Amino acid sequence: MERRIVWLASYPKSGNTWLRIFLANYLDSTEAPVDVNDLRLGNSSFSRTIFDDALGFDTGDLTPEEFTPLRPVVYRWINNNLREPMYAKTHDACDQLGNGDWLMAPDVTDKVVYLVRNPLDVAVSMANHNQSTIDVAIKNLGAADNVLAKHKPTRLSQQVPQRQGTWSQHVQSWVQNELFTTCVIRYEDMNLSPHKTFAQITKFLGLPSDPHRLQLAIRNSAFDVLSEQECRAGFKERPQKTERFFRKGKVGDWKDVLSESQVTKVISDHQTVMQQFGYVNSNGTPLFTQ
Amino acid sequence: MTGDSAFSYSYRAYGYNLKSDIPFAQLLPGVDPFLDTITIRRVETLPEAPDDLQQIGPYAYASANYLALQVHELVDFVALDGKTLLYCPHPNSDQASLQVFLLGSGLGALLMQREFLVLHGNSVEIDGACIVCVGPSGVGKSTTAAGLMKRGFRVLSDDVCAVNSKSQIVPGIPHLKLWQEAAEGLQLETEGLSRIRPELAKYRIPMDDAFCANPIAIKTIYLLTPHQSDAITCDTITGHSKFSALRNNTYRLRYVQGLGLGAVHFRQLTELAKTVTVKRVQRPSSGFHLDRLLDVLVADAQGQEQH
Repeated sequence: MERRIVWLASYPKSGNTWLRIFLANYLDSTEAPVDVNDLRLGNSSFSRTIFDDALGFDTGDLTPEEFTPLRPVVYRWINNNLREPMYAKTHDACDQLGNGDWLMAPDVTDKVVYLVRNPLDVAVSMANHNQSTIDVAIKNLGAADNVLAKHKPTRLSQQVPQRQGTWSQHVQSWVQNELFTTCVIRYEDMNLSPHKTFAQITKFLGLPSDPHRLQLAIRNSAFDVLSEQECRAGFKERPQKTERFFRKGKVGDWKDVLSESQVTKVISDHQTVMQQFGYVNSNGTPLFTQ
Repeated sequence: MTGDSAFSYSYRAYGYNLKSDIPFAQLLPGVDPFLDTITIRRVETLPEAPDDLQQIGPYAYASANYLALQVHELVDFVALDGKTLLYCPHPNSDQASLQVFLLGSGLGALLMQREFLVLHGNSVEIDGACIVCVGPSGVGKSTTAAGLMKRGFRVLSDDVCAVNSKSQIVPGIPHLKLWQEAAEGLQLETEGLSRIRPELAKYRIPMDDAFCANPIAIKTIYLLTPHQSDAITCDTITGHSKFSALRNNTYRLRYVQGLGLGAVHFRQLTELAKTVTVKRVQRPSSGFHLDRLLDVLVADAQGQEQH
Protein backbone atom coordinates (compact mmCIF):
# COMPACT_ATOMS: atom_id res chain seq x y z
CA MET A 1 0.00 0.00 0.00
CA GLU A 2 1.18 3.48 -0.84
CA ARG A 3 2.41 5.46 2.16
CA ARG A 4 1.23 9.03 1.92
CA ILE A 5 1.43 10.48 5.43
CA VAL A 6 4.26 12.92 6.10
CA TRP A 7 4.67 13.80 9.76
CA LEU A 8 6.00 17.25 10.59
CA ALA A 9 7.15 16.33 14.05
CA SER A 10 8.67 18.37 16.83
CA TYR A 11 8.63 19.14 20.49
CA PRO A 12 6.41 22.24 20.92
CA LYS A 13 7.87 25.70 20.13
CA SER A 14 10.54 24.28 17.83
CA GLY A 15 9.48 25.76 14.52
CA ASN A 16 6.67 23.43 13.47
CA THR A 17 4.32 26.27 12.54
CA TRP A 18 7.03 28.00 10.54
CA LEU A 19 7.75 24.79 8.65
CA ARG A 20 4.06 24.29 7.88
CA ILE A 21 3.73 27.86 6.66
CA PHE A 22 6.83 27.47 4.49
CA LEU A 23 5.46 24.25 3.01
CA ALA A 24 2.06 25.76 2.41
CA ASN A 25 3.71 28.60 0.54
CA TYR A 26 6.00 26.25 -1.43
CA LEU A 27 3.12 24.04 -2.46
CA ASP A 28 0.90 26.99 -3.39
CA SER A 29 3.66 28.92 -5.15
CA THR A 30 1.70 32.14 -5.17
CA GLU A 31 3.34 35.55 -5.20
CA ALA A 32 1.32 36.66 -2.21
CA PRO A 33 1.91 34.89 1.10
CA VAL A 34 -0.52 32.17 2.06
CA ASP A 35 -2.99 33.25 4.75
CA VAL A 36 -1.61 31.80 8.00
CA ASN A 37 -5.18 31.26 9.18
CA ASP A 38 -5.95 29.12 6.14
CA LEU A 39 -2.94 26.87 5.83
CA ARG A 40 -4.63 23.72 4.58
CA LEU A 41 -1.80 21.68 5.98
CA GLY A 42 -3.80 19.71 8.45
CA ASN A 43 -3.69 19.15 12.15
CA SER A 44 -4.95 15.65 11.68
CA SER A 45 -2.73 13.98 14.19
CA PHE A 46 -4.46 15.27 17.32
CA SER A 47 -7.87 16.77 16.64
CA ARG A 48 -10.52 14.70 18.41
CA THR A 49 -13.01 15.34 15.61
CA ILE A 50 -10.82 13.45 13.15
CA PHE A 51 -10.94 10.34 15.32
CA ASP A 52 -14.65 10.61 16.12
CA ASP A 53 -15.47 11.00 12.43
CA ALA A 54 -13.28 8.12 11.31
CA LEU A 55 -14.35 5.68 14.02
CA GLY A 56 -18.07 6.52 14.00
CA PHE A 57 -18.38 6.93 17.75
CA ASP A 58 -17.38 9.46 20.40
CA THR A 59 -13.80 8.86 21.48
CA GLY A 60 -14.48 11.11 24.45
CA ASP A 61 -16.49 8.21 25.88
CA LEU A 62 -13.38 6.02 25.92
CA THR A 63 -10.62 5.93 28.51
CA PRO A 64 -7.09 6.81 27.28
CA GLU A 65 -6.14 3.12 27.55
CA GLU A 66 -8.99 2.27 25.21
CA PHE A 67 -8.48 5.19 22.84
CA THR A 68 -4.72 5.40 22.30
CA PRO A 69 -4.37 2.03 20.47
CA LEU A 70 -6.99 3.29 18.01
CA ARG A 71 -4.90 6.25 16.88
CA PRO A 72 -2.58 4.33 14.51
CA VAL A 73 -5.63 2.42 13.28
CA VAL A 74 -7.23 5.72 12.29
CA TYR A 75 -4.01 6.93 10.65
CA ARG A 76 -3.99 3.76 8.57
CA TRP A 77 -7.61 4.32 7.60
CA ILE A 78 -6.85 7.92 6.64
CA ASN A 79 -3.85 6.81 4.60
CA ASN A 80 -5.96 4.27 2.71
CA ASN A 81 -8.18 7.08 1.55
CA LEU A 82 -5.42 9.49 0.53
CA ARG A 83 -4.59 10.12 -3.12
CA GLU A 84 -1.75 12.55 -2.46
CA PRO A 85 0.65 13.25 0.41
CA MET A 86 -0.86 14.46 3.64
CA TYR A 87 1.40 16.71 5.72
CA ALA A 88 0.37 16.58 9.36
CA LYS A 89 1.78 18.23 12.46
CA THR A 90 2.53 16.19 15.52
CA HIS A 91 3.98 16.97 18.93
CA ASP A 92 3.67 13.38 20.10
CA ALA A 93 6.78 11.50 21.15
CA CYS A 94 7.30 8.56 18.85
CA ASP A 95 5.92 5.95 21.19
CA GLN A 96 5.46 2.25 20.99
CA LEU A 97 2.18 1.20 22.55
CA GLY A 98 1.52 -1.55 25.02
CA ASN A 99 0.14 -3.80 22.30
CA GLY A 100 3.38 -3.48 20.30
CA ASP A 101 1.94 -1.14 17.68
CA TRP A 102 3.58 2.22 17.03
CA LEU A 103 1.49 5.29 17.76
CA MET A 104 2.49 7.13 14.59
CA ALA A 105 1.95 4.17 12.24
CA PRO A 106 5.29 3.84 10.40
CA ASP A 107 3.69 1.39 7.96
CA VAL A 108 1.66 4.22 6.43
CA THR A 109 4.20 7.00 6.96
CA ASP A 110 6.16 8.05 3.92
CA LYS A 111 8.55 10.46 5.60
CA VAL A 112 9.14 12.48 8.74
CA VAL A 113 10.64 15.93 9.04
CA TYR A 114 11.72 16.25 12.66
CA LEU A 115 12.58 19.71 13.92
CA VAL A 116 14.88 20.19 16.88
CA ARG A 117 15.54 23.50 18.64
CA ASN A 118 17.90 24.47 21.43
CA PRO A 119 15.94 23.70 24.62
CA LEU A 120 17.31 26.89 26.15
CA ASP A 121 15.32 28.83 23.55
CA VAL A 122 12.41 26.38 23.73
CA ALA A 123 12.09 27.16 27.45
CA VAL A 124 11.78 30.90 26.75
CA SER A 125 9.26 30.36 24.00
CA MET A 126 7.21 27.85 26.02
CA ALA A 127 7.00 30.21 28.98
CA ASN A 128 5.54 32.90 26.73
CA HIS A 129 3.21 30.50 24.93
CA ASN A 130 1.80 29.07 28.14
CA GLN A 131 2.11 32.32 30.09
CA SER A 132 4.05 30.44 32.75
CA THR A 133 7.33 31.20 34.47
CA ILE A 134 10.62 30.12 32.92
CA ASP A 135 11.14 27.74 35.83
CA VAL A 136 7.85 25.98 35.11
CA ALA A 137 8.77 25.72 31.44
CA ILE A 138 12.16 24.23 32.31
CA LYS A 139 10.52 21.80 34.71
CA ASN A 140 8.12 20.67 31.96
CA LEU A 141 11.03 20.19 29.55
CA GLY A 142 12.48 17.76 32.04
CA ALA A 143 9.25 15.98 33.00
CA ALA A 144 8.95 12.42 31.75
CA ASP A 145 5.19 12.54 32.28
CA ASN A 146 4.67 15.71 30.26
CA VAL A 147 1.52 15.43 28.14
CA LEU A 148 -0.24 18.01 25.97
CA ALA A 149 -4.03 18.07 26.48
CA LYS A 150 -3.59 15.59 29.30
CA HIS A 151 -6.61 13.38 29.90
CA LYS A 152 -8.78 14.34 32.83
CA PRO A 153 -11.66 12.05 33.72
CA THR A 154 -13.76 15.12 34.60
CA ARG A 155 -13.76 16.94 31.27
CA LEU A 156 -13.31 16.57 27.53
CA SER A 157 -10.63 18.26 25.45
CA GLN A 158 -10.99 18.92 21.73
CA GLN A 159 -7.42 17.74 21.33
CA VAL A 160 -6.47 14.19 22.19
CA PRO A 161 -3.69 13.68 24.76
CA GLN A 162 -0.22 13.89 23.22
CA ARG A 163 2.54 12.40 25.34
CA GLN A 164 5.86 14.16 24.97
CA GLY A 165 8.12 12.91 27.69
CA THR A 166 11.16 15.05 28.41
CA TRP A 167 12.62 17.17 25.62
CA SER A 168 15.52 14.71 25.36
CA GLN A 169 13.23 11.70 25.26
CA HIS A 170 11.08 13.34 22.61
CA VAL A 171 14.03 14.07 20.35
CA GLN A 172 15.55 10.64 20.75
CA SER A 173 12.24 8.86 20.25
CA TRP A 174 12.06 10.26 16.74
CA VAL A 175 15.68 10.55 15.62
CA GLN A 176 16.63 7.07 16.78
CA ASN A 177 13.61 5.29 15.32
CA GLU A 178 14.70 3.40 12.24
CA LEU A 179 11.16 2.44 11.30
CA PHE A 180 10.69 5.95 9.90
CA THR A 181 12.55 7.74 7.14
CA THR A 182 13.41 10.94 8.96
CA CYS A 183 15.14 14.18 8.06
CA VAL A 184 16.26 16.00 11.19
CA ILE A 185 16.45 19.77 10.85
CA ARG A 186 17.59 22.30 13.41
CA TYR A 187 15.46 25.39 13.92
CA GLU A 188 18.67 27.38 14.11
CA ASP A 189 19.66 26.30 10.60
CA MET A 190 16.23 27.30 9.26
CA ASN A 191 16.88 30.71 10.77
CA LEU A 192 20.54 31.21 9.92
CA SER A 193 20.85 29.30 6.61
CA PRO A 194 17.31 29.33 5.22
CA HIS A 195 18.10 28.63 1.58
CA LYS A 196 20.29 25.65 2.24
CA THR A 197 17.99 24.27 4.97
CA PHE A 198 14.65 24.69 3.25
CA ALA A 199 16.13 23.33 0.02
CA GLN A 200 17.22 20.30 1.99
CA ILE A 201 13.67 19.86 3.26
CA THR A 202 12.02 20.19 -0.16
CA LYS A 203 14.53 17.79 -1.67
CA PHE A 204 13.93 15.27 1.11
CA LEU A 205 10.18 15.52 0.56
CA GLY A 206 10.64 14.89 -3.14
CA LEU A 207 9.11 18.21 -4.13
CA PRO A 208 10.13 19.74 -7.47
CA SER A 209 13.28 21.77 -7.16
CA ASP A 210 12.75 25.38 -8.19
CA PRO A 211 14.99 28.18 -6.93
CA HIS A 212 12.41 30.91 -7.61
CA ARG A 213 9.71 28.93 -5.83
CA LEU A 214 12.06 28.34 -2.91
CA GLN A 215 13.00 32.01 -2.68
CA LEU A 216 9.34 33.00 -2.77
CA ALA A 217 8.28 30.53 -0.10
CA ILE A 218 11.13 31.56 2.19
CA ARG A 219 10.23 35.21 1.76
CA ASN A 220 6.51 34.57 2.28
CA SER A 221 7.13 32.63 5.47
CA ALA A 222 9.67 35.02 6.94
CA PHE A 223 9.14 36.16 10.49
CA ASP A 224 8.28 39.76 9.61
CA VAL A 225 5.61 38.60 7.16
CA LEU A 226 4.04 36.25 9.70
CA SER A 227 4.19 38.87 12.40
CA GLU A 228 2.48 41.40 10.16
CA GLN A 229 -0.26 38.91 9.28
CA GLU A 230 -0.86 38.21 12.96
CA CYS A 231 -0.98 41.93 13.75
CA ARG A 232 -3.51 42.49 11.02
CA ALA A 233 -5.80 39.49 11.34
CA GLY A 234 -4.74 37.46 14.37
CA PHE A 235 -3.48 33.88 14.33
CA LYS A 236 -5.95 31.19 15.24
CA GLU A 237 -3.32 28.91 16.77
CA ARG A 238 -2.33 31.51 19.35
CA PRO A 239 -3.50 30.52 22.84
CA GLN A 240 -6.04 33.01 24.12
CA LYS A 241 -3.93 34.21 27.05
CA THR A 242 -0.78 34.74 24.93
CA GLU A 243 -0.35 38.15 23.44
CA ARG A 244 1.58 37.18 20.32
CA PHE A 245 2.33 33.82 18.72
CA PHE A 246 4.99 35.17 16.33
CA ARG A 247 6.91 36.81 19.12
CA LYS A 248 10.58 37.16 18.26
CA GLY A 249 11.70 34.36 15.94
CA LYS A 250 15.21 34.70 17.26
CA VAL A 251 18.02 32.27 17.84
CA GLY A 252 19.76 32.63 21.18
CA ASP A 253 17.13 34.73 22.91
CA TRP A 254 17.84 32.64 25.99
CA LYS A 255 21.04 34.53 26.57
CA ASP A 256 19.04 37.64 27.43
CA VAL A 257 16.34 35.89 29.39
CA LEU A 258 17.60 32.88 31.34
CA SER A 259 19.54 33.14 34.58
CA GLU A 260 22.76 31.23 35.02
CA SER A 261 21.08 28.69 37.28
CA GLN A 262 18.30 28.18 34.73
CA VAL A 263 20.85 27.56 31.98
CA THR A 264 22.70 25.13 34.21
CA LYS A 265 19.49 23.29 34.96
CA VAL A 266 18.53 22.84 31.32
CA ILE A 267 21.99 21.65 30.37
CA SER A 268 22.11 19.33 33.33
CA ASP A 269 18.80 17.78 32.24
CA HIS A 270 19.58 17.50 28.53
CA GLN A 271 23.33 17.63 27.94
CA THR A 272 23.65 14.44 25.93
CA VAL A 273 21.10 15.39 23.30
CA MET A 274 22.12 19.03 23.35
CA GLN A 275 25.66 17.97 22.58
CA GLN A 276 24.46 15.66 19.81
CA PHE A 277 22.87 18.63 18.05
CA GLY A 278 25.65 21.10 18.68
CA TYR A 279 23.98 23.15 21.40
CA VAL A 280 26.71 22.47 23.95
CA ASN A 281 30.24 21.15 23.66
CA SER A 282 31.54 18.09 25.45
CA ASN A 283 32.10 20.19 28.57
CA GLY A 284 28.50 21.27 28.63
CA THR A 285 29.28 24.82 27.58
CA PRO A 286 26.62 26.42 25.36
CA LEU A 287 27.74 26.81 21.73
CA PHE A 288 25.07 29.10 20.29
CA THR A 289 25.66 32.46 21.75
CA GLN A 290 23.82 34.84 19.43
CA MET B 1 -30.46 -13.60 27.43
CA THR B 2 -30.02 -14.94 23.90
CA GLY B 3 -31.77 -15.17 20.58
CA ASP B 4 -35.50 -14.54 20.79
CA SER B 5 -35.85 -13.98 24.53
CA ALA B 6 -38.78 -11.87 25.69
CA PHE B 7 -38.23 -8.11 25.91
CA SER B 8 -38.74 -7.16 29.51
CA TYR B 9 -38.28 -3.42 29.17
CA SER B 10 -40.38 -0.88 27.30
CA TYR B 11 -39.56 2.75 26.67
CA ARG B 12 -40.35 5.63 24.35
CA ALA B 13 -37.91 7.91 22.52
CA TYR B 14 -37.79 9.90 19.28
CA GLY B 15 -41.44 9.07 18.56
CA TYR B 16 -40.99 5.30 18.83
CA ASN B 17 -41.53 2.57 21.33
CA LEU B 18 -38.25 0.94 22.30
CA LYS B 19 -38.39 -2.65 23.47
CA SER B 20 -35.20 -3.89 25.02
CA ASP B 21 -33.81 -6.94 26.73
CA ILE B 22 -31.79 -4.77 29.13
CA PRO B 23 -32.97 -1.90 31.30
CA PHE B 24 -32.16 1.67 30.30
CA ALA B 25 -32.69 3.95 33.29
CA GLN B 26 -32.15 7.00 31.12
CA LEU B 27 -35.11 6.34 28.83
CA LEU B 28 -38.75 7.36 29.31
CA PRO B 29 -40.65 4.22 30.34
CA GLY B 30 -43.95 3.14 28.86
CA VAL B 31 -45.62 2.03 25.66
CA ASP B 32 -47.66 4.10 23.24
CA PRO B 33 -49.92 1.88 21.10
CA PHE B 34 -49.89 4.44 18.27
CA LEU B 35 -46.12 4.35 17.80
CA ASP B 36 -43.92 2.04 15.75
CA THR B 37 -41.52 -0.12 17.69
CA ILE B 38 -37.73 -0.39 17.66
CA THR B 39 -36.24 -3.44 19.33
CA ILE B 40 -32.87 -3.68 21.02
CA ARG B 41 -31.65 -7.18 21.70
CA ARG B 42 -28.55 -9.11 22.40
CA VAL B 43 -27.40 -11.85 20.04
CA GLU B 44 -24.58 -14.37 20.23
CA THR B 45 -23.54 -13.68 16.66
CA LEU B 46 -24.42 -10.76 14.47
CA PRO B 47 -26.43 -11.34 11.30
CA GLU B 48 -24.66 -12.15 8.07
CA ALA B 49 -23.57 -9.07 6.17
CA PRO B 50 -25.21 -8.22 2.86
CA ASP B 51 -23.19 -8.80 -0.34
CA ASP B 52 -22.80 -5.13 -1.10
CA LEU B 53 -21.43 -4.23 2.32
CA GLN B 54 -18.87 -1.40 2.22
CA GLN B 55 -16.31 -0.57 4.83
CA ILE B 56 -16.91 3.05 5.81
CA GLY B 57 -14.47 3.33 8.70
CA PRO B 58 -11.83 1.27 10.49
CA TYR B 59 -14.57 -0.55 12.37
CA ALA B 60 -17.71 0.48 10.52
CA TYR B 61 -19.49 -1.20 7.64
CA ALA B 62 -22.69 -0.32 5.85
CA SER B 63 -25.05 -0.93 3.02
CA ALA B 64 -28.66 0.12 2.51
CA ASN B 65 -30.49 -0.31 5.80
CA TYR B 66 -27.57 -2.10 7.45
CA LEU B 67 -24.94 -0.49 9.61
CA ALA B 68 -22.41 -2.43 11.65
CA LEU B 69 -20.04 -0.86 14.16
CA GLN B 70 -17.41 -2.35 16.43
CA VAL B 71 -16.69 -0.21 19.44
CA HIS B 72 -13.24 -1.07 20.68
CA GLU B 73 -13.68 -4.32 22.59
CA LEU B 74 -16.84 -3.07 24.25
CA VAL B 75 -19.69 -3.93 21.93
CA ASP B 76 -20.40 -4.77 18.31
CA PHE B 77 -23.78 -3.90 16.95
CA VAL B 78 -25.83 -3.88 13.78
CA ALA B 79 -28.61 -1.38 13.08
CA LEU B 80 -31.12 -2.89 10.67
CA ASP B 81 -33.90 -1.26 8.67
CA GLY B 82 -34.52 1.43 11.25
CA LYS B 83 -36.26 -1.19 13.34
CA THR B 84 -33.75 -3.39 15.09
CA LEU B 85 -30.55 -2.92 16.99
CA LEU B 86 -28.73 -6.19 17.52
CA TYR B 87 -25.77 -6.08 19.85
CA CYS B 88 -23.06 -8.44 20.92
CA PRO B 89 -21.17 -7.32 24.02
CA HIS B 90 -17.52 -8.19 24.48
CA PRO B 91 -16.62 -10.18 27.60
CA ASN B 92 -16.25 -8.00 30.70
CA SER B 93 -17.98 -4.97 29.18
CA ASP B 94 -20.29 -3.37 31.71
CA GLN B 95 -23.89 -2.48 30.94
CA ALA B 96 -23.42 1.28 31.30
CA SER B 97 -20.67 1.24 28.70
CA LEU B 98 -22.81 -0.75 26.27
CA GLN B 99 -25.64 1.70 26.62
CA VAL B 100 -23.57 4.77 25.76
CA PHE B 101 -22.86 3.42 22.31
CA LEU B 102 -26.19 1.70 21.71
CA LEU B 103 -28.17 4.87 22.42
CA GLY B 104 -25.67 7.09 20.62
CA SER B 105 -24.27 5.66 17.41
CA GLY B 106 -26.74 2.74 17.41
CA LEU B 107 -29.95 4.68 17.83
CA GLY B 108 -28.57 7.44 15.62
CA ALA B 109 -28.08 4.94 12.80
CA LEU B 110 -31.63 3.64 13.19
CA LEU B 111 -33.02 7.17 13.01
CA MET B 112 -31.03 7.82 9.85
CA GLN B 113 -32.40 4.62 8.36
CA ARG B 114 -35.86 5.99 9.10
CA GLU B 115 -34.83 9.07 7.12
CA PHE B 116 -34.59 11.57 9.90
CA LEU B 117 -31.93 14.20 9.42
CA VAL B 118 -29.86 13.62 12.55
CA LEU B 119 -27.75 16.52 13.84
CA HIS B 120 -24.95 16.33 16.40
CA GLY B 121 -26.15 18.80 18.94
CA ASN B 122 -28.58 19.70 21.69
CA SER B 123 -32.05 21.11 21.25
CA VAL B 124 -33.88 23.44 23.61
CA GLU B 125 -37.30 25.08 23.46
CA ILE B 126 -37.30 28.85 23.80
CA ASP B 127 -40.63 30.71 23.56
CA GLY B 128 -42.35 27.94 21.66
CA ALA B 129 -39.62 27.46 19.09
CA CYS B 130 -36.61 25.17 19.10
CA ILE B 131 -32.97 26.14 19.01
CA VAL B 132 -30.25 23.61 18.30
CA CYS B 133 -26.66 24.08 19.42
CA VAL B 134 -24.21 22.17 17.24
CA GLY B 135 -20.44 21.94 17.16
CA PRO B 136 -17.55 19.54 17.66
CA SER B 137 -17.21 17.27 20.69
CA GLY B 138 -15.96 19.20 23.68
CA VAL B 139 -17.16 22.62 22.53
CA GLY B 140 -19.84 22.80 25.24
CA LYS B 141 -23.14 21.79 23.65
CA SER B 142 -24.42 19.75 26.60
CA THR B 143 -23.12 22.35 29.05
CA THR B 144 -25.06 25.01 27.17
CA ALA B 145 -28.23 22.92 27.19
CA ALA B 146 -27.82 22.27 30.92
CA GLY B 147 -27.34 25.98 31.52
CA LEU B 148 -30.51 26.78 29.60
CA MET B 149 -32.32 24.06 31.55
CA LYS B 150 -31.26 25.72 34.78
CA ARG B 151 -32.74 28.97 33.49
CA GLY B 152 -36.09 27.28 33.10
CA PHE B 153 -36.09 26.27 29.43
CA ARG B 154 -37.12 22.78 28.36
CA VAL B 155 -34.74 20.43 26.56
CA LEU B 156 -35.76 18.08 23.75
CA SER B 157 -32.60 16.11 23.11
CA ASP B 158 -28.94 15.81 23.96
CA ASP B 159 -26.30 14.78 21.43
CA VAL B 160 -28.57 13.01 18.94
CA CYS B 161 -31.03 15.53 17.47
CA ALA B 162 -33.56 14.00 15.08
CA VAL B 163 -35.18 16.39 12.60
CA ASN B 164 -38.39 15.23 10.93
CA SER B 165 -39.77 16.23 7.52
CA LYS B 166 -41.49 19.26 9.05
CA SER B 167 -38.15 20.63 10.33
CA GLN B 168 -39.21 19.78 13.85
CA ILE B 169 -36.93 18.29 16.47
CA VAL B 170 -38.51 15.16 17.91
CA PRO B 171 -38.05 14.62 21.65
CA GLY B 172 -35.25 12.19 22.45
CA ILE B 173 -33.89 10.91 25.74
CA PRO B 174 -34.74 12.86 28.91
CA HIS B 175 -31.19 12.99 30.26
CA LEU B 176 -28.19 15.22 29.61
CA LYS B 177 -24.67 13.82 29.71
CA LEU B 178 -22.41 16.21 31.55
CA TRP B 179 -18.77 16.10 32.60
CA GLN B 180 -17.92 16.71 36.25
CA GLU B 181 -16.28 20.07 35.63
CA ALA B 182 -19.22 21.34 33.62
CA ALA B 183 -21.63 20.18 36.30
CA GLU B 184 -19.57 21.95 38.97
CA GLY B 185 -19.54 25.13 36.91
CA LEU B 186 -23.31 24.94 36.79
CA GLN B 187 -23.55 24.05 40.48
CA LEU B 188 -25.34 20.84 39.61
CA GLU B 189 -24.94 18.07 42.14
CA THR B 190 -23.53 14.82 40.75
CA GLU B 191 -23.64 12.85 44.01
CA GLY B 192 -25.90 9.86 43.50
CA LEU B 193 -26.07 10.23 39.73
CA SER B 194 -25.09 7.46 37.35
CA ARG B 195 -21.84 7.69 35.45
CA ILE B 196 -22.09 6.97 31.76
CA ARG B 197 -18.97 4.86 32.13
CA PRO B 198 -17.42 3.73 35.40
CA GLU B 199 -13.98 5.22 34.65
CA LEU B 200 -15.18 8.63 33.51
CA ALA B 201 -16.64 11.42 35.65
CA LYS B 202 -19.40 12.08 33.12
CA TYR B 203 -22.90 11.86 34.50
CA ARG B 204 -26.48 11.40 33.37
CA ILE B 205 -28.39 14.43 34.55
CA PRO B 206 -32.15 13.82 34.52
CA MET B 207 -34.24 16.49 32.84
CA ASP B 208 -37.40 15.51 34.77
CA ASP B 209 -39.98 18.27 34.21
CA ALA B 210 -37.54 20.13 32.00
CA PHE B 211 -37.92 17.49 29.29
CA CYS B 212 -40.02 18.72 26.41
CA ALA B 213 -42.01 15.72 25.17
CA ASN B 214 -43.49 17.36 22.05
CA PRO B 215 -41.89 17.94 18.65
CA ILE B 216 -41.02 21.60 18.17
CA ALA B 217 -40.11 23.38 14.94
CA ILE B 218 -36.51 24.61 14.70
CA LYS B 219 -36.08 28.34 14.49
CA THR B 220 -32.32 28.78 14.78
CA ILE B 221 -29.28 26.53 14.76
CA TYR B 222 -26.29 27.92 16.62
CA LEU B 223 -22.86 26.70 15.62
CA LEU B 224 -20.67 26.96 18.72
CA THR B 225 -17.08 27.83 17.87
CA PRO B 226 -14.18 28.69 20.15
CA HIS B 227 -12.06 31.75 19.39
CA GLN B 228 -9.26 33.64 21.03
CA SER B 229 -11.15 36.77 21.97
CA ASP B 230 -12.97 37.36 25.24
CA ALA B 231 -16.01 38.52 23.32
CA ILE B 232 -19.02 36.37 22.50
CA THR B 233 -20.25 37.07 19.00
CA CYS B 234 -23.28 35.87 17.10
CA ASP B 235 -23.41 36.22 13.32
CA THR B 236 -25.78 34.84 10.73
CA ILE B 237 -24.34 32.42 8.21
CA THR B 238 -25.86 32.27 4.75
CA GLY B 239 -25.43 30.60 1.39
CA HIS B 240 -22.88 27.88 0.94
CA SER B 241 -21.45 28.38 4.42
CA LYS B 242 -24.88 27.77 5.89
CA PHE B 243 -25.30 24.54 3.93
CA SER B 244 -21.79 23.41 4.92
CA ALA B 245 -22.46 24.13 8.58
CA LEU B 246 -25.57 21.95 8.50
CA ARG B 247 -23.80 19.22 6.58
CA ASN B 248 -20.69 19.22 8.75
CA ASN B 249 -22.75 19.01 11.92
CA THR B 250 -24.73 16.01 10.80
CA TYR B 251 -24.46 13.21 13.33
CA ARG B 252 -22.07 10.49 12.09
CA LEU B 253 -21.87 11.95 8.60
CA ARG B 254 -19.91 8.96 7.28
CA TYR B 255 -22.88 6.70 7.96
CA VAL B 256 -24.96 8.68 5.47
CA GLN B 257 -23.14 7.66 2.30
CA GLY B 258 -22.64 4.11 3.54
CA LEU B 259 -26.39 3.74 4.05
CA GLY B 260 -27.04 5.01 0.53
CA LEU B 261 -28.71 8.12 1.90
CA GLY B 262 -26.57 10.73 0.16
CA ALA B 263 -29.35 12.10 -2.04
CA VAL B 264 -31.89 11.99 0.79
CA HIS B 265 -29.45 13.81 3.06
CA PHE B 266 -28.79 16.49 0.45
CA ARG B 267 -32.51 17.08 0.07
CA GLN B 268 -32.97 17.21 3.85
CA LEU B 269 -30.20 19.76 4.24
CA THR B 270 -31.59 21.87 1.43
CA GLU B 271 -35.07 21.86 2.94
CA LEU B 272 -33.78 22.63 6.38
CA ALA B 273 -31.62 25.47 5.09
CA LYS B 274 -34.75 27.08 3.67
CA THR B 275 -36.62 27.07 6.94
CA VAL B 276 -34.09 27.76 9.69
CA THR B 277 -31.58 30.45 10.49
CA VAL B 278 -28.02 29.36 11.18
CA LYS B 279 -25.72 31.51 13.28
CA ARG B 280 -22.09 31.16 14.26
CA VAL B 281 -21.59 31.84 17.95
CA GLN B 282 -17.98 32.39 18.85
CA ARG B 283 -17.04 32.08 22.47
CA PRO B 284 -13.69 32.36 24.31
CA SER B 285 -11.60 29.23 23.90
CA SER B 286 -10.54 29.24 27.53
CA GLY B 287 -12.32 30.02 30.74
CA PHE B 288 -15.90 29.30 31.77
CA HIS B 289 -18.12 31.97 30.26
CA LEU B 290 -21.37 30.12 30.25
CA ASP B 291 -23.60 32.86 31.68
CA ARG B 292 -22.52 35.34 29.05
CA LEU B 293 -22.97 32.72 26.33
CA LEU B 294 -26.45 31.88 27.57
CA ASP B 295 -27.35 35.58 27.70
CA VAL B 296 -26.38 35.94 24.05
CA LEU B 297 -28.25 32.81 22.96
CA VAL B 298 -31.43 33.61 24.84
CA ALA B 299 -31.47 37.23 23.75
CA ASP B 300 -30.95 36.23 20.17
CA ALA B 301 -33.50 33.43 20.26
CA GLN B 302 -36.12 35.68 21.81
CA GLY B 303 -35.42 38.81 19.87
CA GLN B 304 -34.92 37.87 16.26
CA GLU B 305 -37.42 38.13 13.41
CA GLN B 306 -38.75 34.91 11.88
CA HIS B 307 -36.55 33.71 9.00
